[in-house]
Parts: sequence; C-alpha cells; structure tokens
Amino acid sequence: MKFKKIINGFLNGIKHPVSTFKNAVRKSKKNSRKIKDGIINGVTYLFSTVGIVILLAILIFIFKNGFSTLSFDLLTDNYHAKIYNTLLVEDFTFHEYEDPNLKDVYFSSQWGVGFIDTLDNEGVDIVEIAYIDKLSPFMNVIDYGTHEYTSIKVGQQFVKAILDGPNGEFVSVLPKYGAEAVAEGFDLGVIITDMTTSSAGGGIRGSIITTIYLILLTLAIALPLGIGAAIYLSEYAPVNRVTNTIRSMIDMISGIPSIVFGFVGSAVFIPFMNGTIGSDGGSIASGALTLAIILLPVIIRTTEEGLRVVPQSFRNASLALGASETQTTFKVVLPNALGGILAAVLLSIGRIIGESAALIYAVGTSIKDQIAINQSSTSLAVHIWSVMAGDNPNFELSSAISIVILLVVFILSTIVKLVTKRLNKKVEK
Amino acid sequence: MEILFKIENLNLSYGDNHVLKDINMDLYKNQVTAFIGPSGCGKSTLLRCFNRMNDLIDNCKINGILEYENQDVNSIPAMELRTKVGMVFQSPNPFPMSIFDNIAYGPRCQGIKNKQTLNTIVINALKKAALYDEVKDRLKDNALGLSGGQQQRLCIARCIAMEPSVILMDEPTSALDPISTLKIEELIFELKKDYTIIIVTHNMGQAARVSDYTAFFLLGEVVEYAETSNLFKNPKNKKTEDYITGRFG
Repeated sequence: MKFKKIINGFLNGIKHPVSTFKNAVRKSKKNSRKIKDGIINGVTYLFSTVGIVILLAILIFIFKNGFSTLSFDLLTDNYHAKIYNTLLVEDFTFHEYEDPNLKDVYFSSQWGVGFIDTLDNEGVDIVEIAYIDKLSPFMNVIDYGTHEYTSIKVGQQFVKAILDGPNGEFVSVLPKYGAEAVAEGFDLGVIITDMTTSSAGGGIRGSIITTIYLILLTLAIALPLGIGAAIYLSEYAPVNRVTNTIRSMIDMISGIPSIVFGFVGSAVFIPFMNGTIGSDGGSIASGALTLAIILLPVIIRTTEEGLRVVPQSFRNASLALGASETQTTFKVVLPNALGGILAAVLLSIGRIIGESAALIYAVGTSIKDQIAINQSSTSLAVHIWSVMAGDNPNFELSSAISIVILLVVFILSTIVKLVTKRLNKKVEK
Repeated sequence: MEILFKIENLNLSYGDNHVLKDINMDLYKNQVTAFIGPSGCGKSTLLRCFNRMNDLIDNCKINGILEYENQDVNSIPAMELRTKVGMVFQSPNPFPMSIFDNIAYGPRCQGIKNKQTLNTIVINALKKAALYDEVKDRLKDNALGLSGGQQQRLCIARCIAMEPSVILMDEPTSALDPISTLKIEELIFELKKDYTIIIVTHNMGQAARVSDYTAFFLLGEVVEYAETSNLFKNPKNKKTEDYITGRFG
C-alpha cells in the first residue's frame, strides 16, 4: 500500500509539478512546526511538573514530620515546664479504688492513680498521669515550695517519686521504665516521702500570644501611616518628578531584605523603647515598630492600587454634587477601596507571621511564657529558629509549628480572596 | 428672556490642543438648550465649563468671560457653584450605596443631618425624577440593583436633591435603551418648568423634541445657535444643514 502511494505521488509529481512542490513544502513546514510546538509544550509541562513536585515535597515533608507532634496541647501549653514538688498531707487515708479500665492506662490500686506512656510536645517519651480517683491522696497534697494545699492534676508529667514500703523499705519510682513499672512501683509503697511532677512543657502558647501582639501592634502603627500615605499619593499628590521618585523609592524599599530592617530597627527602636517604656533590650514593641517599617511599602502600594481602581465617575459624581475633595475621598473613594485596604491588611498579617530575620534582633530569641509588650519573646517563626538553632535541632516541633503557620496563612489568603471577590462584585454590579 | 449664562470670547485648550475657539453665546433661564455636533467638537467641554469640572483636569487653560447670573464663574467657589449647577453624566454613575443614601449624599455633604429633613428631600427628589413609585418600597436597597434607565433617573434625582437652578446633562441617554430614553425625555419636559437645562446630545431627534434652543458645534466653534424650530426648519448655515440632514457627522 505504502509503495503504491509513493508511486502515485511520483506520477502526480510529473503530471502537476508546481502544485505538488508547493504541497510538499507546506507539508514539511507543517511537520516542523508540529515538532517545534511539541518540544516547547513538552519543556513547559516538564518545568511546571518539577516546580509543583518540589512544592508538594516540601508540604509532604512538613506534614509528615509535624502532624504527629501537632496537638491542641501544643498550642495551649507553656514552653517551660513547671515543676511541682509535693508531699502527702499527714492524715491521709486509703480507700478502695476501682480501676477505671482506661485504654493503655496502668492503674495503681494502692493510690487510685493511673499512668500512661505518651510523648511530650517536643516528641520525648514521658509518663503522664492519666487518671486520679476522687478519693485518692493525690487530690490533697502540700506543695513543697509554697507550703500550700494543692492537688496533683491529670495531664501532669510524672518526674520521680520516693516511697516507703510497708516494712520500711525504700522504693524509688522513675518514669524511664514506662508507665507499667511506675504503677507497680507505686503499689509497693504505703507512704510517699517525696514526689515531683511537672506541667507539660514545650508548648507554643507564648509564641502564639507574641505573634498576636505583634500583629495587632504592628497594624495599629502601620495601617494609619500606610493608608494615609496611599491616600495622599493617589488622591492629592500632583504627578511630577518628586512624587514619582517617592513611588519608586517605596517600591525599592519593599525589595530590601528584612534583616537589614532588623538591625537598623534594633539600632534605632530598641534604645528608643528602652528609654520610653522601660524595656531591657529587644521587646515586642520594638519588633512591632520594625515590622511596621517593613510593611509600610506593602500597605501603601496595595492601598494605592485599591484607591486607583475606584471608578473616576464616582469622584466626578461626588464633586458635581458640590462635595469637597476631602468629602469625596473619605465618603466615596475610601469606602469603595475597602477591598484593597483589606488585601493590604491580610497581606501584612501574612508577612508578620512569616517574618523571622528582622525579629531575631528586634524581639529576641529566648522563648517566653509570660508575655509583655516591653519584654522580649519569640514569634512563631522565631520559635522555629530557636528550636532549630540549638545542638539538637527538633524537626518534628519545627514542622508542627510550620503547619500552624501554613494553616493560618492559608485561612487568611482564602478570606482575602473571598472578600475582595465580594467587594469587587458589589462595585461592578 | 433672562440671561443665565453669558459667554464671551471663551477659549479653552488642553495643553496644545485648542478645543474651544471664541465661543460667544447667551443661555436663557428656564429654557432647554441642546448642544449638538459631531464627536470631539467641544460641546461636552463647554458643558463642563458651566460647573467648573474642567478645573479637575491638569493643564486645562480657559480664557474669556463666562458669567453665571452676571457673576464670573471663577469668582464663585467651585463647590458652591456646583450646588447651583448640577450635572448628570453620560453613563449612569450611582454610588454603590442605598438609593436613599445616594440622594441624601449631596445634602449630607452640605451638613444636613436631620433625618426628617433628609427624608423629605429624598422623597421630593424621587418624585420630581418620576422614580418614586418604582422604588418607594426599596429605598434601602443598593442603587446598583436598579436598571440602567432607573439609575440615570436616580442620578437626576440626586442632582435635583441639591435644589440647583441649572441641570447640565452630558448625553444622558446615550447608554440607555429607547424606552428608558423616552422616559428621560418626558422627564426633561417636566423639569424644564423649574430648571434651566443644558443638554449635550448626539441624537438630533432628541434635540428637536426636548429643546427650545439648539447650538450646533463644529471643530470647537459654534456654527449656528438659534431657536430649535428655526434651526431645524431653516438652517442658515450650509454646514448645519448638512449635519442635521445627516450628510456628515
């Protein structure tokens, strides 16, 4: 068949030499274009696939490492564990305690207490107190340090205990052999002479609070300044060389690495804050000022963009009704630019949550539980830095914090999209 | 007839672009004056001179005399002038707020806060703009939900709420369908009892139907300005005749 086709083509070529030649050229052109297009498309697909795979791999790494560590306790616990040294009250009495038969809980029937093997927030094996009977002596103990009545609480970590046996023998209970051994050890004793428990540590509560403080304080400083500047640039400023220079300067500033702002900010704001609000070294306040400077270009440009897309016809209508320029700006233009302003706010929040380099200088790197504006502490991103900077970098905890950050940023960006879509719809309609 | 606007040797240029050349005309009170002419002939530009909207345009230069009630318009503060000389734009441009707020916007900017007063103003303006019956149940709804024709009448109502003596209309029906156009024309007929109306239009039929006086513009000059019936029946200038008979433009 193929042979016949070629012969036919050849004969055809002799019969109509010109048109056959033209057809051949067209065919070969068509083919080479097909190949070229194929190569270009193939390369595009390849590159996009590689890009997406890399991004997915990072996400998978973070979720795989961090998901088991992530828990509600991680978000609400303090970073520094609180140690409780306790003694039993002198006139305690034993009762008959019923084993609640909880899963994986080892019960000491002598004391009415259950223990469980678990991991702490940083992924270390620990023994936790999982159950205390209402009548257990553990419900009424004396704190060694403060001499106050208190109780051991479910969820506390068991650190160590020393008991006396019925015949005066000495029983030492340590968590390193697991919850079962701890429960058995307790069953051997009749008097507890010394017991140490601790609250769960390694949590990121302090860093979450610091991050929230930073967001609120930074926005409170940067939004009025940024929106004001945007209104000036978009509504009042004449278009000339000076304002154009200002605009390009603002664009340039947004390209400066944040660590530069970090050390400049700390050189200026830390002494300033030390002098005014009595902080000692880096503080949330100086961090917020530094962040405000970093965010100003973003807020100015985003808001300006929002103001610019407000239709000129609104301004004309307002002015033609005898409104002043100021009234026009604040009653008509600004309300219609809310989408842009909101986008600026949420972009800023994303930047604040994600910023680390600038805050290492301006806020500090030591993780705190008691948060005050004039004290140093860490934001979530710097918390990761602190956890990773030591001798034993903790990938699990870092990944868990990353998941928290990712989720917050994801939620925020979704809100931005939804709200701007809605506001745009309102204006376009 | 009382002269409202007096224009003498008015010249206007945007940068190097000489848009209006030696305009001389008097506009009369409580009359409808139509400006006709091909696109780019300067009729809208002249209209914007009456309420000083050209002030907003950079490098716009105006020379000559333009008097409103024997007063140079430049001696009247722009905001005050615009409350007396209202304007309706080519495409309906209600604010994206409620119908009520749209109309109350102007009075509120003048410092009127009393709810009762605002209510009266809004309802009167809507009635005058022949829109009240259509929207009386949904004054709190967003104005952008109205149809194009209703939006344009809302813009007229918004203008009336300021109690101006002049209403400038810049091709008010060019973005509307024929029925909405008819309604606006009827409205203009009603409004001319109380207001002086200056209307720019591309529709010669419309000029003939609604106006008392017509001015024909060409390349920045007034070619002919006369009573509408005269201008359309016996145009004195050949160019006017060509234009109104549709030979160019």
